Amino acid sequence: MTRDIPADEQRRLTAHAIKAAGLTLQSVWERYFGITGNADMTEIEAHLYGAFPLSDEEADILTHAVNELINEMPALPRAPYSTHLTTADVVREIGSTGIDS
Amino acid sequence: MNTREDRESAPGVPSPAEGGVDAAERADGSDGSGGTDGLARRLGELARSLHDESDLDTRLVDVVQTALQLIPEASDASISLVKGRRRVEPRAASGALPGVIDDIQSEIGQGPCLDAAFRQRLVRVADMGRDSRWPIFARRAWDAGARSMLCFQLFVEGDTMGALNLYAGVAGAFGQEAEQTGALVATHAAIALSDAKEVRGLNDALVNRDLIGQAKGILMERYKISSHQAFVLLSSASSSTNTRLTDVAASFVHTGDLATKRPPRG
Repeated sequence: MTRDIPADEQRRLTAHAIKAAGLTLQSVWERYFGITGNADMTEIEAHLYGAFPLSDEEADILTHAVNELINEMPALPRAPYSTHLTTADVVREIGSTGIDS
Repeated sequence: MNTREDRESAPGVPSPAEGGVDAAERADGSDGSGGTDGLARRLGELARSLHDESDLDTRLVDVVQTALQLIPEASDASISLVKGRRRVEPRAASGALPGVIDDIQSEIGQGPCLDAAFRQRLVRVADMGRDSRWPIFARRAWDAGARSMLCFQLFVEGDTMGALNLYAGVAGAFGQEAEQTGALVATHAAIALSDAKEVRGLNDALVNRDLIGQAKGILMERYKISSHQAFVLLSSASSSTNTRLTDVAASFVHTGDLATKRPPRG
């Protein structure tokens, strides 16, 4: 398959995502291994430092493992609004049809 | 954090020595070495039983029972699992009190367990009636009958953590020796539990690998594509439906259909 982004860019942004989310190498490797990744933990670590190239498939498995772990992190608390109005409610209220709901 | 010394020297607070532990065992006070023979033997027994026992809940009960035997000041003990940084679940509780305390912490999102979870290895509550760190929790916990508490961090993994909790019905129940013994029990328990988690995690990983391998094989055969292309198909189905890859593979192997779109919301 053809790449949409260079391998090095994928590697760099994957390493950045792991760091930004505060994921441990152990947890990343466990998920990666669980979804059919074949490199060992040392190889993954070396890969993230740019010292060990993974195949495109292994790199995508690693990417998917990282994204799953990020998706599973608890969301930050959000601030509530004063009302629960939706766009549709507002449109109905002002009698306009110019806005998509 | 308020110091323990403040509380224990306060008038009207019972001295920890009134607990019921053999005075000889705490005679030197510094490291509890007066009772180390019995302590070492019990911890050895605990380590062996944790090693031999494969069932997690049985192991947790062993930890809690050992803590109660070694720390007579404690009237109740439990292990709490904190999930998602907020939900506190009691495990292996020795009575009803730990469950009540965990429910309060889950409900109001504050308390010693949650602090032991993510900030400190040991959280002491010498006198629940005078604790200003978690005012709402402290008032309700006091009413429920928890007058002093010790929480030891057992492990932190991702957004899940475990803590060993000791409870007493009187303020100022736990002295230095109780803290040291509790820390020893917690350390033994932490090691045993991390072994158990690792083994279980790897078993899960092997089952998942097999399942995803089957799904990839079916896709490769069906569409005459490479292993990498098959993975990309599964991966995009997983991302677009916000479903774990393992679950996507399981449902695909089971039904033969690859869900690629989230069902439209009504």
